Parts: sequence; structure tokens; C-alpha cells
Amino acid sequence: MRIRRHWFTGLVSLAVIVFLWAPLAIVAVNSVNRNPLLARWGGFTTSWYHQAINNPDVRSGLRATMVVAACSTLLSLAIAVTGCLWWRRAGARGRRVFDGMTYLRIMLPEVVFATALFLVFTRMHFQLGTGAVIIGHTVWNSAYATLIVQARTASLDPALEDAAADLGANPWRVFRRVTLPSLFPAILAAGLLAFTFSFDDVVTTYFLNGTANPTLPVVILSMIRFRVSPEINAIGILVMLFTVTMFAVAFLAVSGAGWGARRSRA
Amino acid sequence: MSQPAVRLRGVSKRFGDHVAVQPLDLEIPEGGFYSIIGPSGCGKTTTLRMVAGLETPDTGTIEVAGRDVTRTPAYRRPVNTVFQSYALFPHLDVFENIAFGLREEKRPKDEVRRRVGEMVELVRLAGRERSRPKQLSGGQQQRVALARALVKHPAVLLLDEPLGALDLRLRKQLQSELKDVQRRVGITFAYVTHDQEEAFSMSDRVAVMNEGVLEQEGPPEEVYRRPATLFVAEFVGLANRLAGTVAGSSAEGYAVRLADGATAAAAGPEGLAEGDEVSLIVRPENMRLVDNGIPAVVRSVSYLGPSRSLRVDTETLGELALMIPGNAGSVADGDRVALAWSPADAWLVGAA
Repeated sequence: MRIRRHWFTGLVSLAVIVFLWAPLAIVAVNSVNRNPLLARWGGFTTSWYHQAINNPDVRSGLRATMVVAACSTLLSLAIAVTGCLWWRRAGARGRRVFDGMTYLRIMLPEVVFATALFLVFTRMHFQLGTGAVIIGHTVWNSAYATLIVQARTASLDPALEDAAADLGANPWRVFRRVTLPSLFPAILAAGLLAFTFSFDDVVTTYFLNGTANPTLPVVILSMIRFRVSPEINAIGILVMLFTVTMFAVAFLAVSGAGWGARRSRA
Repeated sequence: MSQPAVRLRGVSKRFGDHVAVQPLDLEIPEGGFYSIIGPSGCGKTTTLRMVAGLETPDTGTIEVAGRDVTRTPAYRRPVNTVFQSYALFPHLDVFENIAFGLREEKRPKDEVRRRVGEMVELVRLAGRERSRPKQLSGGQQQRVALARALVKHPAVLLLDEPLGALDLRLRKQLQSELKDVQRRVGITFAYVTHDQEEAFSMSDRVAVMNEGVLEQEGPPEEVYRRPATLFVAEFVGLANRLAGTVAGSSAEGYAVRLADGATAAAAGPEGLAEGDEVSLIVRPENMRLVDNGIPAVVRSVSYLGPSRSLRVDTETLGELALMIPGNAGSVADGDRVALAWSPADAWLVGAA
């Protein structure tokens, strides 16, 4: 039997599509709109992209973002992998505490962590800046990374590691040749996700950046505070393309079970 | 040949409150096919894992090829294991799976290629070197697991129910292949299974374990014909078990008074005394239909091809099982028959 559609559900769907996608479409169109006031279509141009790429604030912002995202991702992965390996051998109570601490970092609002870290850092006379931002991002990023790696760890057959040890691999070699390759798809996905979250972040960065070079999202925020330059549209589209690509790769890494299946080099 | 391949002395293991293996003494002679059998949870796999170094014994010492390895970690022991789940590395192909152990030994490349090649031939997987484990059938995966362990030329190869996950026909085929491989390479095989028939068909010697205790050890025929305990008698095959008391002993054997008051001659272990409660064990295939014997009524007959399996009721000895040749004339439910066995086929074990 076919389900009859009510006109109202159709209307809601349409509204969702319009409100979600129309702004993006407008940004995309305006990023190549020659008219500087963006009031109407003034012909095709790529000059906003040139301007965005050559803007020194954008460039330094991008550099700062990359440093923060890369460092926070690596730190988060290290925490997630070691944590999950511990979790595997932990007792029931240890696991509950571990899981609770992971979920807490995801559930508590970012503002709470950002404020708390701000207060702690200033009291400790820890210089606010890039280092503080990296630590701040790692607080929640490591939790997301843990969730992803944990799912894979749970399904890892301990007999594989027994077999590697039985064949003469010492504990480090077992980790290097069996455990790590088995976790590789999850580590890749967690890394890309963490990188993207860090790349996007405004709140934590705003609280902890001090006088250091601001990251790209903060640069964009301060740019639109004065006026909406057409250049913003170009930056927006570039960031969006980057983020979508990262997510797509992360998704493929997790869903493609055969990933990470390359020949080992001893 | 003088020293055993594996020697366990007073080895025990407990997991929490559960005693997996009671203090155990066991010697596995070099060069043969040795099986440890028993029901699940009897401690046979734990014993094997302690030899491999994957579990640490609570007490006792383990020697492999004359060397004490009790404190040696798994990766430095001269033993290799074929796991029940095969545990093939999913991210490596067949070649790299087999080469894994040699790469850990840092063998030169051409030696690795040669030795892996030999193994691939031995287990008949030529042409599949670049396949992933999950592209192989269960039987092929099993062969990769075997090759991966054998390529290291271990002093002892440990096999933990390696055929458990396969269907019956494949299992039979691989049983003879395993036996064949063992003869060709001459490496000591220590095989764990719950399937006594499988163990008997391949092994030079078997050990029967129950609840963490070694019940008996010896060649299959001895274990089958001369079981040391009631548990062994019933675990290694069907057994008719007749309760009785020892009435006397002589150089030839014992005289036993059965429940029906008659006296039967039987062989048995040394040391039984007059008046001891015993069970007289007669295998179904050693019970014969005769013209003049213990009267019985046939309750059911199953035709199995080469043989017929009968269940009969006797007035005084209860229900008995018989296995008679399939071509020995027809018997039907309800027939009145008479049965007998020869004293040489009767064996006594102490009553539990």
C-alpha cells in the first residue's frame, strides 16, 4: 500500500530545503558575482577568490588553523589509541569510568570547558595562545577520536595478537604489525574528523587564543563584523569544500572494510 | 628420541575461583602425533596455551625440547600454534601471513621466498599467494594457518581444535592431510580436540582430561580397550557398563559377580581386591548374538550400512547396546535373542 503524503509534510520538507541550502547556494553564487555590493548579478568573476587567497589576514589565519588542527589531532589520536588499548584490558568498573569521562567531554557545552580552561590557565600564569588553544581543542577532540577508535578496538580479535606473539613478535612488534594496522581505518577516520572539528572551531579558540595570530574562523568572524565583503563568500566556499572532502574521506575510510589492507613491509 | 618434546611437571592454572588445570604431569614424546582430548572445559586448551606461553601457569615447570621455558615469553618459545579460529591476519595476503614469523626472525629475502614457497606447495595453495584470507574457503584458511606455524620449524606444533569450524566431509579429508603432513615433516604435533574419533584416527598417543585432571594417557587402542576410569571408558566410545563385585582373582584375570548373581570372567587393572565394587565394561561391537546366552528382547534396530546398532532389554542386566555386522542376517524389534561376550573383551574399572 502506498503511503499518502499530506500537503503539510511536503511544505515542511520544502522549507527545510530552502532554509538549509538557499544560504549556501547564495554564498556560492555571490562568490563569483562581479557586483561588489552583491545586490544583483553583475557577471562572472574569480577575483574574490584571488583577493581571499592573497589577503594576509586570511593567510596567517589559515596557517594558525593548520598548526592548531594538526597538533590537536595528533594529540587526540595519541590519547584515543592509548586510552582504547587500556580500556580493552580494563575491568568493568574501569571501563565505566573511562566511558563516563569520554561522554562528559562530548556532552558538556564547549563554553564551559573554554571558560574553565581560561580561568585555570590565567591563574597558573600559563600563557594564552596557540598552545592553550591546542590543549582546549584536544579536550573534546580526543573524546570524539576515542569513540571512533573504541568501536574498532572492541571488535578486534585478541587471537590475532596471540598469533603474532606465537610467531615470534615481541609486544612492540605485535602492536606495530597487527594491532595498529587493524585499527588503521578507525585512526584515519578519527584523525580526519578531529582535524575538521578543530578547523571549524570558534568558541574555544576565542577564549584561549590571547594575543596570538587568530585562526581562520576567528578571522572570518572579525571580518564580517565591519562589513560583509564579497571575499567572505569565496573563503566560505573554500572552507566548505575542504571540510566536505575531509568528511567524505573519513566516511570512506570507516565504511570501506578493505581499507588499510596493504602489503606489510617488515 | 631420549628426551620428550614437552614435559610438564606439576603444572596448574586457575582463573579466579575456577580451577582450569589441576597439578598436571605430562610428557609428549618427540616426533609423534599426540592428542589431548576431553569435553569442553576440561583444561585441554588451557594446557596447550601454557605450553605456547599464552597463559602463565600458577605452579609447576614446562620444558620444551629439554629446555625450561616456564618463564620464557611466547615470542621466544620454540613452539608455534594453529588456532581454532585460525587467527589469520586480515590485512596481509596468504604469502605475508605465512612469511610473518620468518620476517620476525629477520631472515634474508630469498630464504623467506624459498621457505614460504615450500610451505605453499606442502599445503597445496600454489597460485593463491596473493589472496586475502577472507577470499579463501574454510579449508584453505586452515591450511594457511598450518603453513604459517610450520614454516618456523617449531620443536612442537600446537593445534587447538583446528578442524572444529569445518563440515564433516572436509574435516575427514583434512584429518588425513594433517597426519600425512606430520609424517613428512617429522615435527611433533600436539593436538587438542573434543572429538575422540578424530584424535584416535590420527594419534600415536592420546591423553584424556576431565575437569582439569589427566585421567589416562597411552596409545589409542590401550585407552579404548583398557580404560583407567569410568569417565575414560564412556568418553572414548559407547560402553555397556555392568555393576558387580570382585569375587576372586587369578593369574588370568578376575571373577566378577554381576547383578544377576552369575559370575563372569574379566580382565582388569592390577590391585583390585575381593569385594571391590567395580564396573564391567563391554564395548557394543564385542557383544555377540548367540544361540545360548543371556536372554534379551530387541527394543530397537538401526541399520548403519556396515553395521547394525541394536538396543536390547535383558531381565537382569538392564538395557544393553550391541553393534553387529550389517550382513549378519535380519533382526527386528521384539525378537527374542540371546547374547554373550568373550572374557577377553570384558574390562573392569573401579566403580565411581
